[in-house]
Amino acid sequence: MTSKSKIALIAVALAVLIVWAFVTVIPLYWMFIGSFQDSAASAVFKPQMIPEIWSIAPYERFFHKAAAVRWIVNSVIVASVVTVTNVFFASLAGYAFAKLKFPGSKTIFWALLTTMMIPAQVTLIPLYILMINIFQLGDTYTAIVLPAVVSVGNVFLMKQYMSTLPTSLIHAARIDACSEFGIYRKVILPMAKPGLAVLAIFTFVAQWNEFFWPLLVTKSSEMRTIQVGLASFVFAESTDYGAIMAGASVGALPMVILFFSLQRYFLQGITVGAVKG
Amino acid sequence: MRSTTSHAAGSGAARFRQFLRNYGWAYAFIAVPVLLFLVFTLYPVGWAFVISFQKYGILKSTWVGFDNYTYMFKDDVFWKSMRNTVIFTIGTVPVNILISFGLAFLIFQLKQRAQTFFKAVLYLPTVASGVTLSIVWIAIFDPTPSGMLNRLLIQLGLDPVIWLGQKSTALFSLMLMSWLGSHGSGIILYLAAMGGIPKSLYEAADIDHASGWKKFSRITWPLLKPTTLYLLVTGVITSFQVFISVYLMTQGGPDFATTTIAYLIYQTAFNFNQFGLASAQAFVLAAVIVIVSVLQFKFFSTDIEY
Amino acid sequence: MRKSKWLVWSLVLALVFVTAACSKKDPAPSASGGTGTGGKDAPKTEQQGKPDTVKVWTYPVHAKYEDDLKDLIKDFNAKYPNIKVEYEMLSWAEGPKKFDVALNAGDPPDLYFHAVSGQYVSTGLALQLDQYLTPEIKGDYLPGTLDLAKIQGKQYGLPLYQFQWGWGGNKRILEEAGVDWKKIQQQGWTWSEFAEIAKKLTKKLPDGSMQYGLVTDGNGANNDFIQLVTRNSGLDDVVDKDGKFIWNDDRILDSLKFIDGLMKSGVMPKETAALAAQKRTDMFYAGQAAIISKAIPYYDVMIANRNKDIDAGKVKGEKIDYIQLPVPHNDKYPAKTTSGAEGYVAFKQKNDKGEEHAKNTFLVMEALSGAKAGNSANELCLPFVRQSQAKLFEGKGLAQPYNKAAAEAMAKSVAMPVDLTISADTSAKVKQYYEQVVKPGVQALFTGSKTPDQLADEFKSKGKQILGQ
Repeated sequence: MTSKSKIALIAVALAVLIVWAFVTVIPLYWMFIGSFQDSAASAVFKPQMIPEIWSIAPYERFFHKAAAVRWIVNSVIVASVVTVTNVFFASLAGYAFAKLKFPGSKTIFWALLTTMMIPAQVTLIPLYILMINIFQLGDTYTAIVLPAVVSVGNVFLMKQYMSTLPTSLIHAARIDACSEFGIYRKVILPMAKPGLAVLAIFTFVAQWNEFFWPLLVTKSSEMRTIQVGLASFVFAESTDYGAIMAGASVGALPMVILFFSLQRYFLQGITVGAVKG
Repeated sequence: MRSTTSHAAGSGAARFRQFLRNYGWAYAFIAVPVLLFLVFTLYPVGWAFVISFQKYGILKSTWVGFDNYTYMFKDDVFWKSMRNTVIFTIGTVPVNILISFGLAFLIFQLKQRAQTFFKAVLYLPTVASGVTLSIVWIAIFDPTPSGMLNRLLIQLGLDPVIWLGQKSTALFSLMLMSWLGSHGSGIILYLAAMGGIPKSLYEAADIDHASGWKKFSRITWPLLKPTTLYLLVTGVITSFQVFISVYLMTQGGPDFATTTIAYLIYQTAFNFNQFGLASAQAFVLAAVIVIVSVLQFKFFSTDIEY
Repeated sequence: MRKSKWLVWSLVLALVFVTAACSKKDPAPSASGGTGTGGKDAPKTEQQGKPDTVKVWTYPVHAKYEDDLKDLIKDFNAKYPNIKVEYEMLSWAEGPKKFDVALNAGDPPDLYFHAVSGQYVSTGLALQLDQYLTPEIKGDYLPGTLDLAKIQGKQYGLPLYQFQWGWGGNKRILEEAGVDWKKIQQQGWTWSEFAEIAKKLTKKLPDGSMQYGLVTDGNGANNDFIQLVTRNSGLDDVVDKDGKFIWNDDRILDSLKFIDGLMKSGVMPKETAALAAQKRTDMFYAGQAAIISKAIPYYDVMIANRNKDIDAGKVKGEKIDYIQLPVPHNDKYPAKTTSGAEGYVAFKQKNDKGEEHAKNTFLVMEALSGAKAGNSANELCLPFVRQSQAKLFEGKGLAQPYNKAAAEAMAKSVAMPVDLTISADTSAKVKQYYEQVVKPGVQALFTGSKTPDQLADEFKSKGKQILGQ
């Protein structure tokens, strides 16, 4: 490509991206700005682009709730555990489905995938019976975490990702008499870092935003996650929008931190990993 | 080193040992997802499947055979919601994939720092979710002339629109929400995949004086296929099951304009207490998604080796 | 590399922490789940009966209800230290859904805050209370109030208050248009009288925005508006008290024509089908709605609080004086107030815990519904349901005297909810009829895509189909 057309491409790219970024970031901006506007007596959420009066009253009301900090801690705990288990188990399974040949692999994979296609509305009740009545796990972290330890969607994502990794390195490792787990640990994991980083941030955010299951299986205010906790600012005849936005803004911090600490992996090419491995 | 040939297998036990040696690791690797699947998915799904042939009662359910299924196929609300769901899926999934791919492609042209910036800005909106997001979007779609989007329209010299409150624009409004809000993950995935394409392939193409289009169609696109397939399949699954935005924004209205299958299933189960019928609807929906997914795998699956 | 190591370790630590937290899961829920109950004192004293826990799921009935509840439980535990009361404060937004799942899983809480419902009874898990109701308790309830928590003559709940739905007006706007609101509060008004008045209330404001005569939340979140209107057209509900479908004659056509007229004349905004309840309130605050539907007497207090915030400089806007209004009625039919009772409903579980537990459940229920519990009705400006409550809170009313008088006048023409007398099966079908026929139909009327005649025909034929007549 000539340098001239390269420059033109970059200029166009920048222009499009800036406009698009501006549009998509508006909801987030309003969430943040809304958290600094005291809307205690306003019936609807009406943030101003730039608030006339800045107020930290919404934050005060959010943290005034006895369990507010606990909600965030709970969310961090639950989302972290789910992230670690998903990264480990989904990458293992994804690797097996993508690169190992074994009888029934296709059938098992499709059986897993098909369960994603049944809407959750009809499996809620049996799952609830299982968790609360049979396993007696109500109001525990275990109940929130257990069904999410490894999701089929993540196994699928890892299968797709692993399938793009070069098979030649795996063969080479086999010749070096590595065990299969050894290959996974010494060859696959280093190569797959970008994929794992992506998986980690996706899982963390998804679990963080999980609402209904944590609501179902927790009962005490101390066991709730932030999303469930935020709903307690919705009252019969009014909603404390400011406090919800304040809680959501504070609650966004762990995700932002995780994103930036992982983002440098997103771009690592496979080749880099391959040399190291 | 190991032998993958299964010749001259002796006794049954030896054959089993051989089988374990060949495939044991693979089964161990998938054990946890499969176990969880058996406990937390197969049991509930099996339960729901049985219920779909029953009139559900908490203390006692009664068998009704295929009644739930025949009722459903005669129910015009079911067909209306199927129609809305299909329109929503067609209107969002391909568009979102194109948007994600396009934006990722543009970002990929930039320097590292700029890439990081745009990735963050385009991905981070996903941190706002559920209640928070719906509050913001309800404010955006405020139907009166003082609404956020309507003020913009008026400034552009257009008439205000009753976004969620009229049949002609309600479903479109939900699609608009999806277009503007659900490509963060797609961008990140595409960028990771683009980063994974070996530079040597492009260099080799340059030596052959391949055109830009040729490089795209012979190298970039094929190597991104696994990612595209993933986005397509999961995109179809989630949009066929679209529920939260309907539940929070429109309750299926006005006049069924935004009633999706997942919302109908929710209503049938929890508002009308007909779990049998809801389960039947769920299995028909699942069957449709399975068929669509199989087709997608047929068209997009490639075994890449390089 | 160091950064990533730190990250991994923090995640592992989190994992360890959780496993530790999980392993002591048995004491954890009771300690935290007790949230301010008297449970901690329970083991100390050995009294008659085995220790038992009664689970209560409730809502923030009014702003300070959780304080009330803690207080009531404390009083109760002083008397019954062996019965632990474990309550969970649900949110209005998602609580009902959580309860539905629990109920259908066969595991409802012992006590749930809600109106009684035929569907609860049909699950076979609702606890019948007649055997526990002593003459003293029965005698304390004001005439007719206990009936509001009965299904087909059997007691399943104890009411905490009797709610009332009406319309609410902005005093300034009403008076500017020369409306004698005091007379309307006392004597009611007909549809034709309302139509005349509403025209005067509808106009363009100097800032270019509209002031509408009537604004309701038409976004399909509920069916309140059509129920308020039809109830004042001689139709207590979709079915009569015997479960017979009645939305099939001129009374329903009249109602639809009335609404259509309000839409066509611009009394109601053309955006009605997109208006959420919050937006409707917002328009009322902004002086863009002269009258809102539905409105409850509590709005008097809510709006007075907003006025205080305006005085304190916390909120910008015009102070408003709230006027409680009855819903106007069809000229040919009498006015009817939509009403009902909410309070605690008792349940047993699929895994029945026995007679002793049921008795204890009732003890807790009565403790949460006694004289002191009258604070809920007081805070919400609603009529008391028990003599002891009325006595305890006498002279402590929070609403303006004229609104209190209006609420009392409205209480005289209450329509009994048909849900109390029809079978659970019919009740479920009525619900389906509302969701799948009425709600979309009314929205079609708001958006002008169906005429009243078309809609009345549709209501009739679909009613025949779903409700079988």
